[in-house]
Amino acid sequence: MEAVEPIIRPPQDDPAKWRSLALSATVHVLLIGALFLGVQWKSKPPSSVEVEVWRAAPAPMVTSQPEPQPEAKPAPKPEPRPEPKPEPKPEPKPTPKPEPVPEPKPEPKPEPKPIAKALPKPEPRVEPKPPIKPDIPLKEDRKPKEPPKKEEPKPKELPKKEEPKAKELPKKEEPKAKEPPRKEEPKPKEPPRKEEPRKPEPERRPDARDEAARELKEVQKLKADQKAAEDQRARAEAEARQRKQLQAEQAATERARAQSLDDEAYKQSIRLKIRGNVSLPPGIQGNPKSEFEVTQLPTGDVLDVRLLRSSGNPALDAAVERAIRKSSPLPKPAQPELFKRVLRLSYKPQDD
Amino acid sequence: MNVSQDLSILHLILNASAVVQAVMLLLAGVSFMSWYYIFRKWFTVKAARAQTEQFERDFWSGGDLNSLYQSAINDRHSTGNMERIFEAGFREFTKLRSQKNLDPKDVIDGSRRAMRATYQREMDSIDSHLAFLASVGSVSPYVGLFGTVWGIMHSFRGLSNVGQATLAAVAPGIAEALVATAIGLFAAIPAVVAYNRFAHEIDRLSSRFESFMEEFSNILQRQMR
Repeated sequence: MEAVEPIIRPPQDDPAKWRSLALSATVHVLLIGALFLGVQWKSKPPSSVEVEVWRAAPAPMVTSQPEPQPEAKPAPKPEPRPEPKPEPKPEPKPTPKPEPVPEPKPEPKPEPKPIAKALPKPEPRVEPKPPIKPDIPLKEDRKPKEPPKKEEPKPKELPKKEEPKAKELPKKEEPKAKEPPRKEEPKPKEPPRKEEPRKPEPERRPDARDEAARELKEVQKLKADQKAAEDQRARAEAEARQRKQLQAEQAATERARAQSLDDEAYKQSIRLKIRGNVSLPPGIQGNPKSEFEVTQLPTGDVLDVRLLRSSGNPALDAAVERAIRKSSPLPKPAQPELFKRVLRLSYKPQDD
Repeated sequence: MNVSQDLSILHLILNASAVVQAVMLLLAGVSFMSWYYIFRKWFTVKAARAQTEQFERDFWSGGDLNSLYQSAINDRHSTGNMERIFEAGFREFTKLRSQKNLDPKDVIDGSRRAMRATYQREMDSIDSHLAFLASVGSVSPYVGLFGTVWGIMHSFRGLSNVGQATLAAVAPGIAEALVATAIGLFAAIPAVVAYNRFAHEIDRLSSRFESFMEEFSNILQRQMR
């Protein structure tokens, strides 16, 4: 008698397997997405102002703040709002300082200044324009003068080689030396050109232009000129750009600081008032730091004082808390929007 | 000292201690596997039900047993579970019947045994991995709880360094730890639901197979005469 041959099981259907895998992955992705989007637990600390009540604290604060001011005063004041402006230039910022030092000390200086002044607003306009349109008129002008130029083919390479510019600098110094008078030619011509070419520009090309394109144009034009002059200018412009970046960054930080200035003054006033009310208990060892959270009303009246971190000395904590309560109402900020309902105060008997 | 910390989910997960993170990782893997089996079982059970229904229709529509058997043999890869039970029973029946000296009762018994063997094999394949879902459903909350307890222990230990015990000092640690429980529950709940549902569906299928086996034995018995 024959054994019953086992019935062959069909192979596990693969499509179902992969479908299940995909579905399982989908479920998890959905869940994670829901968690991340839907659950916004307080990811920001409640807006609170930190005031550090240290004895000598005021002095360093005052000195540290004004430092940047002289530099930045022009930038932040005219435009307190437009923070986005500096951002449009997202280029990674190379270290600008070393560059200007080595060579072009005499020449770059005149250039960057106008640019720097123009920085905040017209910056994108003024710069890109000369390079863009002048190409055609310039070439026509110069072709009669200097027909042999090989540079026409070069422009194509240029787009790719923005960086080589910097490398070529040393090599191209030589031509510059040979033809010193020409260097000056292009510069005087520039200002008039800037205004002329502007008209055709909008018709032809959209305003929005990335930096690479701009540079490209510049370089083309310059090539049509003379290598020496080009180098000079390229370098100068690179510097100018770097400076602009630097300045823009500085301006941004300045603005932030300027905004925080009032804030700082506010904190300062709170600090001073509380400090004046503290009567230190005897026998404090070291310089223990205690932290408090103070809830205040818009009038400055202290609602609640809560010890966040003890200094380790209960008498000192109590003294500081008393001082805070005694300081009620706390001084009000110059700008009402700087008011914070919750303040965090840290107190040290002495400054470090 | 920054008391109020970032409590977004990602932050919580990344800041958890190593043990808690391991637990979360394990649970995430388990959850993934359990969802994989959930979908796979779902497709399997659905297909089995559809095939069973179709075969029952074919079978009771009064077709010839031989032609049904032929068609079952011919496309083996798309047969359903019930069709395979039928195929095993009928094959054994034809083989035994060709032996003249056998008692009809023995023929029927042999055919039933063949059907039962196939039935068990089919049930085994339908049932496979259900145990995984069951254990995920029952164990992963505990694993998550373990992660949570560990995380809370950890955050309380950190409390000893702080002079004053504030809620703010422990809350982030506890929130971190609770994420582990959340993940455990996320793995467990669907697994339990799916397990119950599939167990029920498979029970129904199995009772259908069994009643089919009985009815088919009766038909074979009638054919013996």
